[in-house]
Amino acid sequence: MTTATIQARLLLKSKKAVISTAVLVFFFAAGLSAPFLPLPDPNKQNLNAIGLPPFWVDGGELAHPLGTDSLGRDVLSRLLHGASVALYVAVAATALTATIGIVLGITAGYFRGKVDDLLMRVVDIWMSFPPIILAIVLISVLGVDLNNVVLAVALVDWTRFTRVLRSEVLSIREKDFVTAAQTIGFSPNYIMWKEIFPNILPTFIIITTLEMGIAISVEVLLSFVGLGVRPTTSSWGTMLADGLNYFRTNPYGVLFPLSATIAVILSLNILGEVLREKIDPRLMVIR
Amino acid sequence: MTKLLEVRELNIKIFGKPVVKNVSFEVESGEVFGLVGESGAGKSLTGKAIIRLLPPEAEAAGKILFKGNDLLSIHEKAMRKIRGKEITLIQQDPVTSLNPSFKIKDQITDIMKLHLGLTSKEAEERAVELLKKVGITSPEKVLHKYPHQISGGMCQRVMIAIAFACEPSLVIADEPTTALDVITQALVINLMKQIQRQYNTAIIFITHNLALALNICDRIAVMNNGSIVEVLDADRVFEDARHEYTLSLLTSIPTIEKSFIR
Repeated sequence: MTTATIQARLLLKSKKAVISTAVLVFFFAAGLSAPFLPLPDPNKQNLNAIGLPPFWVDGGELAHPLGTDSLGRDVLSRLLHGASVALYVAVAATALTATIGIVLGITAGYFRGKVDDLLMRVVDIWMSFPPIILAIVLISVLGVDLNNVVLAVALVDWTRFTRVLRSEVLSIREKDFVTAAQTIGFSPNYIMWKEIFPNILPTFIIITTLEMGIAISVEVLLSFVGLGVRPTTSSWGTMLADGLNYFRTNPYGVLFPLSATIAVILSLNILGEVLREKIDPRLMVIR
Repeated sequence: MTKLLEVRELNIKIFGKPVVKNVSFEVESGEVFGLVGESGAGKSLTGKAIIRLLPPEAEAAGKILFKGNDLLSIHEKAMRKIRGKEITLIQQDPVTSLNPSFKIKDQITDIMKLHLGLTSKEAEERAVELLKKVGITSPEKVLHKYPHQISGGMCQRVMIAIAFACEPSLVIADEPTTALDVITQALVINLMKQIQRQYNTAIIFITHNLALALNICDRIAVMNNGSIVEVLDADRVFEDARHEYTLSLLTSIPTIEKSFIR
């Protein structure tokens, strides 16, 4: 049995992994297919159907299964289009953050000395700014746009990746097998990427999944205060802001975007934890 | 025999404190040279200085001439070509010396791909051959295992296979058997000796175990407190030993009679 099949088996045996993956796959599929589904235009206003509840509640209509918002826009359509925004931010911001973090973290941890000192002091200074304030400042400078949200998340969060990965590398590089690789004559580049990187992979996967959750929550938060996406784009954050204004008369306006946000972030965190437990070859035992 | 390695007045300081003082010795090709001494005598540091992998806080001065080149002054890139191809190091703990994330196959073929330019297939064939040579009966099976799935003795054999993979002219064995039980120790030592004869490789055998060194080495340098106190022919140690410290080491080898008295 190969390692990959063992890992796949272990993951399938875990209910947590299956459920969280299912939730994520659902939202991913929804986000990707939203433009092609027979849904009403998420921005089409209908002033004759304002603040409708979902269809199973009195006053709801099947034409708008999850109801409408304060401008009569279809909630289901906005929710699914919002999923694509959230997932775009999650993937793009995490990819950017992870790239910066892993390059700097491995470099600092492997070479130590002056490189490390310099990088870590920059990280210290960076981390002394409160992250949300920093993100808001960055957006104010860069302007309101989805890609600027991605950039803001990366510019705020690269420090976390760098820090965590550096400390992992510091402990791995003292192991005998790194010395062994040096005695064989491998170059520092080879040792960093082929000997050390696979050994920090479990940690890397955890913080990557955590980072995706953080990226989504930052996007929702920035959109909530009106600094995330342009007003024409539907995002869970703008939906929340809208729903909150009419919370007393129509609580469903908050319920759906909030549940979607929580479901995705929670699934990401749980999946990260399960992955760490199951894919580490050192912990691989079939029960 | 020709001179392979010449260490001249090697001094190593850690944080400015001298830990290896004026160490000089020569190793001829095909010779097994023992460095014997208690913990902290500077044996391992001397070994690491030869392959130039001292910790960053250590400073080395002196000359280490290997085939005429001074290893302490050549460029890092040139040094990388020597490591693994000309000189290899076998470390104390075989289990941690192997990368836990890779199968044995990858670790044993990597060195051959790097230094001999073999393709994956050629390297794998050679790996099977090497593993057979170090006494592993089912090499194909072992190749597809991770280090934690095989025993410590097996790991050390794999390390020896890696060390001899490119037929280096010098192998530094830094207490290669300390982490193994006595029976495996004997097996591993015999294997090393056998392969060493076959390839005519020189070995610097670092150990604190004088009895073991007497068994395997041609010549022995006794180190104490950072200096070499005596260099002796292994088969004439009992006759030639003069230095107090060597004598005290010799008398500390346990014998059956002594343990009866106790």
